[in-house]
Amino acid sequence: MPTALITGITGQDGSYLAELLLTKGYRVVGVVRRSSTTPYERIAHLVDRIELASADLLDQTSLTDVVGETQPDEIYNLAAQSFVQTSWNQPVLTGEFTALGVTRMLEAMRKAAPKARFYQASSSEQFGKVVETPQRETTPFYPRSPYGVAKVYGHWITVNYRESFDLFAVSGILFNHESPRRGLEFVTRKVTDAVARIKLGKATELRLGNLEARRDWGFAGDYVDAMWRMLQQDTPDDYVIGTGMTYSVQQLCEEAFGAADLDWREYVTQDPRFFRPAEVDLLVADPSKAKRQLGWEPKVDFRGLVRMMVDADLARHAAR
Amino acid sequence: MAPRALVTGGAGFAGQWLARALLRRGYAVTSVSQSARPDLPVLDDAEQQAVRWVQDDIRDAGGLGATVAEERPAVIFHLAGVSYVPAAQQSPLLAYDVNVMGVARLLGHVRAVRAQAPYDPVIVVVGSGEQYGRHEGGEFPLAETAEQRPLTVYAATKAAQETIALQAARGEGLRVVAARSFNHSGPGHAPHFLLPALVSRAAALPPSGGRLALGNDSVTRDFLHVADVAEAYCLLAEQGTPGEAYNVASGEGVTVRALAERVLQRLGITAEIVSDPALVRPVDVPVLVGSPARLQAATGWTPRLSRDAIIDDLIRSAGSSHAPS
Repeated sequence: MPTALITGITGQDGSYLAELLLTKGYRVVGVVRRSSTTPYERIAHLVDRIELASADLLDQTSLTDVVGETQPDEIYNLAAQSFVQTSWNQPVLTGEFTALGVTRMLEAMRKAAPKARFYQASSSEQFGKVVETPQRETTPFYPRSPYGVAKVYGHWITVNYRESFDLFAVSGILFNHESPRRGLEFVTRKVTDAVARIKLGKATELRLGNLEARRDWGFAGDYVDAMWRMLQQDTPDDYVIGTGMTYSVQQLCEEAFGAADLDWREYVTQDPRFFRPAEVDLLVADPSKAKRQLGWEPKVDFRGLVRMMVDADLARHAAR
Repeated sequence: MAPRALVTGGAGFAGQWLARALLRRGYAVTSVSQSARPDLPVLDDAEQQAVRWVQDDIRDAGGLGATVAEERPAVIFHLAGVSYVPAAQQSPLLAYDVNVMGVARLLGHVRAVRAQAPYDPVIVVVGSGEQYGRHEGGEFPLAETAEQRPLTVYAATKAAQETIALQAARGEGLRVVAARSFNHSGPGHAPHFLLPALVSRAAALPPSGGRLALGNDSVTRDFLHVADVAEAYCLLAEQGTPGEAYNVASGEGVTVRALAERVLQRLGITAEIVSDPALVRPVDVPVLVGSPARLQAATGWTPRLSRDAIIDDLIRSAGSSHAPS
């Protein structure tokens, strides 16, 4: 039975990835920080089938110990300070988690399990002020937030460790991917959660930032499959993962409110407080390399994704 | 206008219970916590809406200062910290950064605001009964005058935190009150802590014939319901003497074995209690029981909820955990 170690297992991608690997017969070990409460909502249904190990991305020794004790065949580094807006308030700490945390994980693997295969969660935010459209693996990075800058560091240190130490280390440049488990701070979930609240009479309005912003949105469940495929290749390489289609925040609102038979125009207002200091340009993936080499394609389209999220939020709020 | 209270670690276990207690006392509440949109298992929808949630990290030099300057809270409760004893043992430098430098940074923010204009908040700094370390039989329940002999990294961080905080009271006249909280639990407490772990493992046993494994079952602790602890923090803010430290304790000890037996009884489960060396903590204080006399004299506080009430509350909340979509 192969062993997979996942940082960020309590997050959206971590929970979907753990599910996928369990169906494939892996022993799954998740890295968590032990605090006074448990942010385990997303993995509550898995806790009996996975192991949890305690470590902190800011503490090298704890990471090396966990990798040494677990002896993983595959390491998925998904943990990060992952919210773009927060990275402007906490630029230094974002660098500690999102950038240097990657080096600490790579160091842990190099010292304690050098034969393991390493996946780094890179991000389309690395393209930021885009140099070409659509973006592919060879497109130069131009990040536009402290988060994006930190992710560029994480990407290059992964490539560097691969080339310097002959490690099997890959970086998946994932475009936005959403699900009913997406954090409420992200715009897709903020919208679908508000739709459910409004539909059930628990809220009356929704304030959003830039309605014109366009993103390439896919389903997280599809994207974790791409991560796994990257680690099954003969040689380590980096891949762009996305749908190749974009929709605006306004289209997201139309679809989400429409799914609950509501007219978005009656509830949505733009609030400048939610605008980013520096907005990214049109981010849209060219996933052709992943399709060609990994045989990967998204299965859930935008409409299916939004409806899945609205349905889940309606069910959740109705049950309260 | 309602007085404003700032709670660091307000999204944590005790932090949420404190936020609830403060709302009920008519405070406007701001919480500062690590995650942007934390999961809040303790609070209901209305309470979650009533609190202002600020995302910040006690390790970040700047952010919290802006919140203090902007809100000028009348009361600050400092609960943010590494709260799990083994986690501090595993990552000592991280624990010192968060638990010790954290209070130094917080006091720095208060000083910066005071330097601009008169500002004199009450600051309740939450420490731990663990600060006392190992003591002998005749000394229990421990008074605040008992020597502090930190045995674990966690205990050392909390003793250092208190030293830093009380210096600001003695030397600079800041209205700092220190709490030394003994074990407390209740709904929302993470399952790796002693009592929630006991309850969840016992609840998973068959009605009879099962075995419940314990580490060192003669370890003795002093348990309160977290609601009583939150009440004590509120009273200390309102009536505590600056520069003083107060035990927040029940005054009564219970062995882990007796606790386990009681949990099984409340669940109506018959099981054999066995000892498992793998569960024994390498470094652990054998007995920790604190005297609440000083707290009671200063504030009239008395615990309202019994040990059985804590256990019953944990049993109820363990049964209601839900799976995500």
